[in-house]
Amino acid sequence: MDFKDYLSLWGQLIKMNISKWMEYRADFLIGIAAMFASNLTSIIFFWVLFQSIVQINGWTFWQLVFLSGLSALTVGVWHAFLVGVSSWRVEREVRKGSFDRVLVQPVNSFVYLLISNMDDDGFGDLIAGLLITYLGAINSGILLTPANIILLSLFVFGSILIFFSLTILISSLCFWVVRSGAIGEIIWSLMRFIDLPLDVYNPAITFILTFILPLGFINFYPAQFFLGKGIVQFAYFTPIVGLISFIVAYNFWKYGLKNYGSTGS
Amino acid sequence: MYKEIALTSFKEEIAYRVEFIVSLLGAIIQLVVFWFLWNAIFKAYGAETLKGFTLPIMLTYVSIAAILTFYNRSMIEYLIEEDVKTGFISVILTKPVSYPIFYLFREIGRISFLFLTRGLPIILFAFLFFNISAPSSPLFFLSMALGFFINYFLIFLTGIWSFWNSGSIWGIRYSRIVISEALSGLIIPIYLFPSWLSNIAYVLPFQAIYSTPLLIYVGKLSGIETFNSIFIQLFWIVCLGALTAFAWKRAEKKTVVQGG
Repeated sequence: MDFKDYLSLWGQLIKMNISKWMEYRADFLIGIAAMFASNLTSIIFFWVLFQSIVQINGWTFWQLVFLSGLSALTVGVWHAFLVGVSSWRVEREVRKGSFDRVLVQPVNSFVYLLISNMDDDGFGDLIAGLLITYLGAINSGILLTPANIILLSLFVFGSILIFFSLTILISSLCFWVVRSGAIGEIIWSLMRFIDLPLDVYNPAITFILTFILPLGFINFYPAQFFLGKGIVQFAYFTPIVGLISFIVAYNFWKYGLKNYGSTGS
Repeated sequence: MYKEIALTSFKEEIAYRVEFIVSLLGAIIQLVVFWFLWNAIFKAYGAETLKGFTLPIMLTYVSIAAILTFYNRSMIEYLIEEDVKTGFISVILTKPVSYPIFYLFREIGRISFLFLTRGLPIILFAFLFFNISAPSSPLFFLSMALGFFINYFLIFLTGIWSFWNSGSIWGIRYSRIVISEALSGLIIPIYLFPSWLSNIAYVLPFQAIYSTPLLIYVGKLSGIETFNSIFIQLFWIVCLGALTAFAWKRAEKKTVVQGG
């Protein structure tokens, strides 16, 4: 199959999904509302705290909103479009045996999983992410010039790749242990770290979140760039870190797949 | 082939261990993040006490909250939905067991298991690294148990939504989790809320699940306040218990009429 075939397959699947969502309209709307609300909890959290204080480590309320917005936006895009290779879904496909069926078809199994799974709830995340980022940006005095928007898009592109890669790494474990769904929870735990700006942590944690598990590039370094904090040039590495992460993760996936194919379990 | 069978069960065992470690690690990461957060906040605030909370009290509060969070993460709603979807519900209704009480005991089992296997290590961690204090009153344990029942009635009520709306319970459950977290004092003590928001929180049942035992633990409630709060917990148990009984009657009738 070439790219054009994948696109038309994607189109077909989106059509199917939309008709499914329309059938269960109440669930569709409740799901979106729930995801939207879940993004607001960290904002409410900071808002309550800022009743008593004016800054945390030099970060104002709206700057922290901007920081949260960037990670919410990243997760939102992932949740809406890239959730197909999340550990829960991969585990489900492998357990049901439907993954084996995909393997014998003339499609790339990775692409197939991606495009055959879309999550309507993700749009709640996505809308919330966009809104929070926008509100955080304008209230912290970030000018929405075309140059800034292009740079922001470039950084967010890198952020998405970083987060996506992390999920691929975890999902690949499924090829060895099958029950990898629950291990996927570790991703959400690790993401808790970037609820706060990295500069509140000690140097060891900051180092790990920059160079080893580069979650800092998802929101902290891009936010620093636009807010003029710290070494702003660090943000330029975001897309590069994203690409490198993706190459590593995808190769790990392929390695796991080879292992899976050869044991035939 | 027999080697494969051995390998498969070996993998299953590993997966259980890994799941255990992952969930424990998650709780500990959350506590580490909170440690840095509250340290930064107290530094920013510049005084010893913030609305009556010192840093050590706050760290004790969030550590105990990390354990009470298990209430909030209940999966009962999914199990009830599954019963409705698969038709198992009509089998249960022919048995001499009460459906709400059946799940109550399942939940008691789950929470006991979590407290022992996850709660104790979390407490140990918090004790070693945050130097948290012991509960300031034994009434904490009573209050924690009462909170469990209030929470159970709430999750059972959201769970039997499935009887009327056969679709995914996912969004309903998630909303319940989010609201419980935001308005209960589970993440931030209600004392820190602006007064209009704490007024809202006080008329809702969520604070009776989490805030009351937590405040008793850290010794923020006087003797009379403690008894008042426990009385309010009992009030919620009676109200939500009655509501659950009523809603369950209707759900049961619906199932019998429709034949499951």
